[in-house]
Amino acid sequence: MQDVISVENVWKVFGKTVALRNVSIKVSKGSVFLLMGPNGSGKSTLLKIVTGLIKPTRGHAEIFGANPWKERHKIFAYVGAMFEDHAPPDWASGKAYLEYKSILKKAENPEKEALAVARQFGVDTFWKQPFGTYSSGMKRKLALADAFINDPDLVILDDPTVALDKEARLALQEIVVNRAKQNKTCVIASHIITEFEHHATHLAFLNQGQTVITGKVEEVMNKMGIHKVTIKTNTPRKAAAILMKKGYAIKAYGNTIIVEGSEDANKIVKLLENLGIKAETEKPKANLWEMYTKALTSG
Amino acid sequence: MFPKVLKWEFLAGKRFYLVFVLYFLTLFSLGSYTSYIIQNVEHKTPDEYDIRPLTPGTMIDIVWEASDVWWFSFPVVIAYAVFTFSYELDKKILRTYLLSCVKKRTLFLAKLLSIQLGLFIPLIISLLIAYPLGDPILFGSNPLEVYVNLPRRLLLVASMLYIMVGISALSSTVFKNPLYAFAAPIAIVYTLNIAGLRVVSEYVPPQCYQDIIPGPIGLLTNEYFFSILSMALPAVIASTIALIIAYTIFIRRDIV
Repeated sequence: MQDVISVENVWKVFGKTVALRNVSIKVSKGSVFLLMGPNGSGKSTLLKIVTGLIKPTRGHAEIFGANPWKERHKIFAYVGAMFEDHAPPDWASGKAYLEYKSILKKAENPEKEALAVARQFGVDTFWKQPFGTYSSGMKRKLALADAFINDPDLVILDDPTVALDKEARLALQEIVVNRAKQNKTCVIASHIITEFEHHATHLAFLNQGQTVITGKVEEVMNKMGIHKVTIKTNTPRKAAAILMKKGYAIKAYGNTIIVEGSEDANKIVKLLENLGIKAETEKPKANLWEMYTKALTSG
Repeated sequence: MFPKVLKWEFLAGKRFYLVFVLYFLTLFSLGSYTSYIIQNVEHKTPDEYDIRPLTPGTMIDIVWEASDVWWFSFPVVIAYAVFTFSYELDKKILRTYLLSCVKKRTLFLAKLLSIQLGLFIPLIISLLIAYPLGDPILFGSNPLEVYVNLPRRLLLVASMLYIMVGISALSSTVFKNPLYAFAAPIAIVYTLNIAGLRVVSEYVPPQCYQDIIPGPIGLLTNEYFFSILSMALPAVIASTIALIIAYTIFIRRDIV
């Protein structure tokens, strides 16, 4: 797969503070890339380097093959981004702002484009008011709409779900999933783990300015020694009892049983079927919390 | 792209209108205030000055003599320029701006031009109104003569504003603390003022035309005009250097 972002051995130092230490990541086209780490781990700094707002002290960053620091104005024709403290001028209405940003991002029909992204996040219901009167949730929705102007090939979102209501979160998840189907890329930085747990295709964990681990979700799970099989059955109690008897560590949720420490799903299904229990495997879902905890403690 | 960014910067809400309102308030309120308490008015000519009784046509003398526009414009202009360029006050908006196809260079130039326009448009309007009010009799008989030296006056005031804008732009990009960003240019411009730069904005009222013999009719003789222009020149050069440094910092700075 083609890399849309490539960061190699990047360092960033602010005065005496080392924000990033030799960070390297690659983001493939069409992926949903989750950048995770605790507060102060360097997520925002890394994304600001990638979007050309900050110059790396050392190392090399590329976005669509271009140097973001030198060619930021070029790449933003097909990149959208939002950061934590997104702030248009207080006096500007959301409508005027989105239309203006559409012009600055070279949209063919700025008014139409602004309305389209505003509708996606429900911004059009309040967008005639000045930004200074918005609640924090409304500001976030406007920032999100801004990031999706021109349906960019790559969207970079820094903590996008903070202060968002449930509807907006679901709308965002849906958009991210649909974009992935269209082979469009999303990079999402967050320390809130559950939001994109089931949608992420790639991961990177940062801690204290360093990359702890990065890669495809399955690769990361393997690298971290997280092996599990998910089984679905109509007789979960009976199945759980058999598996426990056979020495497997399990967790049961309704009709779903997660067998930990095992990689061979077919072997377990066969075992249950031989004992008359109908069972089928499910694609293993990433348990980001587990990976996150493991990444931070092992790092 | 540049016209769009300039338009947005120029119409950046209250800042523009604040300056606009302050100009008028300063010019007109002080004029009417002094007319109540001063019974005589100073008339300056290039060679002498005398005191004559106050008449309706002399309001403009009082306005300019009393307010000495410089004193009122310099904190306003500096505040305006610092607000426009201050990184600390503007960085969130700046970041939002730069997450688009706008070049930093375009943004800097738009900011600079928006300040100049934001100051000049109110200034030109206020002069266009104030001159005929100052000498309604002359304006009634020959309106163009009232405005005859307006371009020269604007050029001198432009150099004065440019000096302040340059120093303020540099200060507000260098100092992240807004207090220092304001304090530094105010201190510098105040010192320049004491050193005589204020002369650049001095005004000789239309009523004194008759006393300027010989030489071109107007507010400023050639000699006087070039004399004060040369006085402003070193500060204009210094301001240009300040703007170049401010630009370099602006281009190279991380938008954290």
